[in-house]
This record gives sequence, C-alpha cells and structure tokens, in this order.
Amino acid sequence: MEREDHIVAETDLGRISVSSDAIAQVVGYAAAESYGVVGMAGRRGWARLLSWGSRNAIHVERRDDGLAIELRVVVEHGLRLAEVGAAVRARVLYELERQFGMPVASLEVHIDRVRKSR
Amino acid sequence: MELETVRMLSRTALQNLEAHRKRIDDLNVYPVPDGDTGTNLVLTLRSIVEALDASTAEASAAVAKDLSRAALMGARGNSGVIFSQIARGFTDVLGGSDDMSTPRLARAFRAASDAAYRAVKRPVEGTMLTVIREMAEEGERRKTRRLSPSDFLAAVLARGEDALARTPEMLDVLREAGVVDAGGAGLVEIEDPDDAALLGEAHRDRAADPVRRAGDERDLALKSTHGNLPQPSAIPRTNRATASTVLSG
Repeated sequence: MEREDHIVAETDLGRISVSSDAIAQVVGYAAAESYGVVGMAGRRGWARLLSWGSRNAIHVERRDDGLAIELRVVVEHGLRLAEVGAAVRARVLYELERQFGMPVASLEVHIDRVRKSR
Repeated sequence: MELETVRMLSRTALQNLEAHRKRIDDLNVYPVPDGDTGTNLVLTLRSIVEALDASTAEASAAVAKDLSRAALMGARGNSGVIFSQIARGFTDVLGGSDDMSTPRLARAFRAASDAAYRAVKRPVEGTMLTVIREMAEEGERRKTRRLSPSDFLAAVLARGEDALARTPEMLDVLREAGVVDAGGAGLVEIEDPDDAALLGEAHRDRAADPVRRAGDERDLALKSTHGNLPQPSAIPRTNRATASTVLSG
C-alpha cells in the first residue's frame, strides 16, 4: 500500500495524521469480526503473477471528499450474502467514524469468494 | 421433527420476540449501536413462520430442510444471519428422525453452536455466539445428560440466561453501556418456549402474569439511555420447565 497520510486533527502546534496502513488495519479488524466473514481476499492466481488488480484485500485512498475504501472478503458459504455485506459495511463505517472521525466518501465491499468450511 | 411442532415453536418464538422487541432493540450497542436487533430477529422469525405456514413437508428431513431454508432466506441483520446458522445446526441433527431424546438434543445444541462459530473468522465473545456455545456445553455435562428431555431443556436455557448475564464481563462495549448483548437476549427469547398454548393447556395470559408484567412495564419506560437499562437477568422468568416438554412430547 502506498504511503499516504491522512490528517485527523490540526492544532496550532501541529497536525495529527494517520497512515493509510493504519486505516486499513482498522478496516481489517472490523471486517474480520463481522459475522459471516471467514477471511480476507488476497490477490490470487493470474492476478498475483501479473500484478493485476488491487494489491491487497483492503485498499485505502484519499479523495477530496473523504476516504475511498475498497474491501474484499471471503464469506462462509450458505449465508445471506446481502445481509453479511451490509453488516460488514455498517461495522467498518462505524469503526472508522469512532476511531478516526474522518469522512468516508465511499466504501465498497466485494465478496470475493464464498468458502465451504465443511 | 414434525411440521406442526416446528410451526408452534416458531410462532411462540415470534410472540416472545415481539413482546420484547423494544427491549432488545434498546440493548443493541454491538457490533453497531443502531438499535435494530430486536426488529431484525422479529423479521427473521416472521419470515420463518410464513415459510412454515406455506410448507407441505411431511417427513422429518423435509421439515428440517424447510426450516433451515426459511431461516437462511429470511435472515435479517447480523443477529438474523447468526440465528440462521444456529437453526441450520439444529436441523442438521434433529431432521434425522422424530426422536427427541436427551442425547439427541445435546447433539443438536452442539451442532448449532459449531455451525454458528464456523461462519466467522474471529468470533467475538460476549455475544449470541457465547450464549449458544454455553448452552451446548451445558448439554454435554454428565449431570445434564442424565435429565429427562424437558429438564434438560430447562437446564440448557438456564445456562443460556446465565451466559447472557455475563456478556458484559466479556465484551467491554457492553459493560460500558451497562447492557447485556442484544442478540443473546433475543436468542434466549427464541429458545424460551414460555407459552402454555404450546402445551395445549389452559392459556396462560402473559399480561396477567405479575412477574412478566413488571418486566414489560419497565421495558416501556426505557428509552434511549442504555446506561439505565436493567439487565434482563433481573427479570425473573417463569414456567419454563413445564413449557419445554413440548419438544420432548
């Protein structure tokens, strides 16, 4: 992930910033605790060999109107995917708001795969 | 599993949830404090009841399949999705035959807990997951395994309530808000066959029950101040052991 910092507060003495990596970690923790999520999707197969696609399961970018986040997860087979996706989304947005208080311009949740664990 | 029994159990669960919907909504601070857990579980159970009403399944396995599918398709919200896995674990075991012996019920609770835990990478304790897991563990205790099916269910439910009361010790966000877990509270209501209609006995009017009533009035008094919420364990529950005989009957 590119080194990119995001300002969370500005004071007379200086700024407080967080890196995209830190934000991605928070997104990752929140997603991994979301019910139905059994893993994060990485780059696989041809994409891995050819360096296509997003580098990681979590991609954080700064835009003028706020953070643009992309998240790729693996969900347990047999669940209502729309409900799982909505729950992941709500949980991640809530954690970002709570921990960083930064505006989120977009949050895309991709269900990359489903896994059958039995 | 017989269709008529499963229909009755689902309807009772729905009634219990509807009666406590507001209280459960108010408990909801995790994973996101959006106050919709009770509503989501009511919607999930409602769609299960509707699907079972439309079902024509006869064989036990077909009833189990319809119930499992109804729970999956009707799942609403986080708690609804977790419940769909719990239902799936139960039906995997109980769909095999009409036998409702204690060992088989114990296996059903274990399967329900395992199914629920299987679908998350990092299970969070102090939630609905903890409640179903402790119920399964209670069912596996040697002492509990020797009980009759109805006493077994009563013991398992009591343990579920006990686990629910301890959820704030396991999850900081609950302790800070002074609440027990909303999904766990919903699960206890679902698993609580506290309704005499089920037994085909004289109808027990919940509103006339002084204990229940005290609890329900307190529910109504509760608004958005989570910190003032009583813990549901403070609301005594009655009639459980007798009502649970429907499963074993």
